[in-house]
Amino acid sequence: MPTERAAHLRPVPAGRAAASDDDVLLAVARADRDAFADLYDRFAPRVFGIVRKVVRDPSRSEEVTQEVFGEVWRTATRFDPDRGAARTWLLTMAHRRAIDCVRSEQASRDRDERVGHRDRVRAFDEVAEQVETRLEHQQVRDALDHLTAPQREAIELAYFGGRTYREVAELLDTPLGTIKTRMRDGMIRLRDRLSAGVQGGPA
Amino acid sequence: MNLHFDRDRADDTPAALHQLAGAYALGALPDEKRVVFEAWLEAQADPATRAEVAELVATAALLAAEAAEPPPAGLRDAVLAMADQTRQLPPPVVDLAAARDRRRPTWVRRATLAVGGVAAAGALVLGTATVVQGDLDARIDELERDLAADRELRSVVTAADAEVRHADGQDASVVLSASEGRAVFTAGGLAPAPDGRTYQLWLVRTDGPTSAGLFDAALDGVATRSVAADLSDVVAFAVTLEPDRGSTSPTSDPVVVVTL
Repeated sequence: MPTERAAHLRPVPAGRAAASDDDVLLAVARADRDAFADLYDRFAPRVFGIVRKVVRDPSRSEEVTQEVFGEVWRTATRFDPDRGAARTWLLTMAHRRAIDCVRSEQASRDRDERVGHRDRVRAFDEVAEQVETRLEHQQVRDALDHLTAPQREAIELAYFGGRTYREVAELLDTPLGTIKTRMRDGMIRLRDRLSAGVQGGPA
Repeated sequence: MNLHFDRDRADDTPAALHQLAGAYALGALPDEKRVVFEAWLEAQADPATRAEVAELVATAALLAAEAAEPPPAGLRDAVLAMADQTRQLPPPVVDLAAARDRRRPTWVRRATLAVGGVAAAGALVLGTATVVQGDLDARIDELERDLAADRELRSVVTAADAEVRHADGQDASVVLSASEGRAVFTAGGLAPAPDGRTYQLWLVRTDGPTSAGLFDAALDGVATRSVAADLSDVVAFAVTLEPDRGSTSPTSDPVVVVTL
């Protein structure tokens, strides 16, 4: 076990740990390749993780993850720190790419599998060298635990399942208006609980 | 073509769009609805509304931490190698809002000055990226078109008499306003037009269809067309595939129809 964990651990050079995600992305926008490697190290587990959750197929997930980082590199100059955090910019891009991937597929897919927690906990331990991400993971888990069950279900089916709100309503045999409200109220509750880490638009 | 559809007509009023904020933040809006929502959002005079949606979007991004898992070995090297072969977009160089009302030749001159480049052998140098004058012109044209379409979409969506019609069984809608004398047609899930062909939009009246222009789908499969016309006797919007110079009347069955 320690040997397997060691393979995933990579020492973080002293200077890099101090820079904010925003600073690193701004450096990427100036074609700083070291900054891009740093950005990859910081975000690849979350990007790959959310892509994998939505897209499912492992090799397609790897392709989409590479495409996401390609788009990050290509369009980093469009990032405006006054409009939101680098983390938001990048992870929203990743999620949208994953969604586009599954919604363009014609074949019907079995997307009724509920999101399981156990596997994610085990996988997450292996990226434990990123203390910040581990803390965030715990905070998010805690915030989700404090939603009502229907709110949490609607949010998880949409976000991790890549479903439209109409697909969620059909799956749960629940009116559209109810689903919209659950999503909105649930997201507001999550925002309030996580507000220490959430940066909205300009004041 | 993607045939999923959305019969939720309760969102037809701009006020009701606010209720979609959670679904929007979760990426749970189909493309044609997302376009309308984003236009409505941009048009909001109260910055608190935009800020609230931005906060929900930021909150959704945090959910990705729940899914984190180690990426495959080898992906890192592939990503870094790809960066070495990929050109970055040039940084935005002009104040688009100010430049929008200026004639294009002046704007191009300002853009040239703003990047600090004295044209040398036809190339402008921006930091470590090199942009050829032709690329910059094309980009400015694209941005001008996007801004114009955006403005028109906003003015229609926020009009007091704005109405939305959705296609039956297809990912398409028309937002129309009689007071604006304008309609905005949006379709999602469109494949790029085949070589030598183009999409053509038609206004269908009882005495037949008239052309409302040629277009192609964007890379994400979404197409938006703004049409200024008297819509009082229009019964439907339709899209056909035509030869790439367009046709005077449709030569094939419609690929998309929105009945008004």
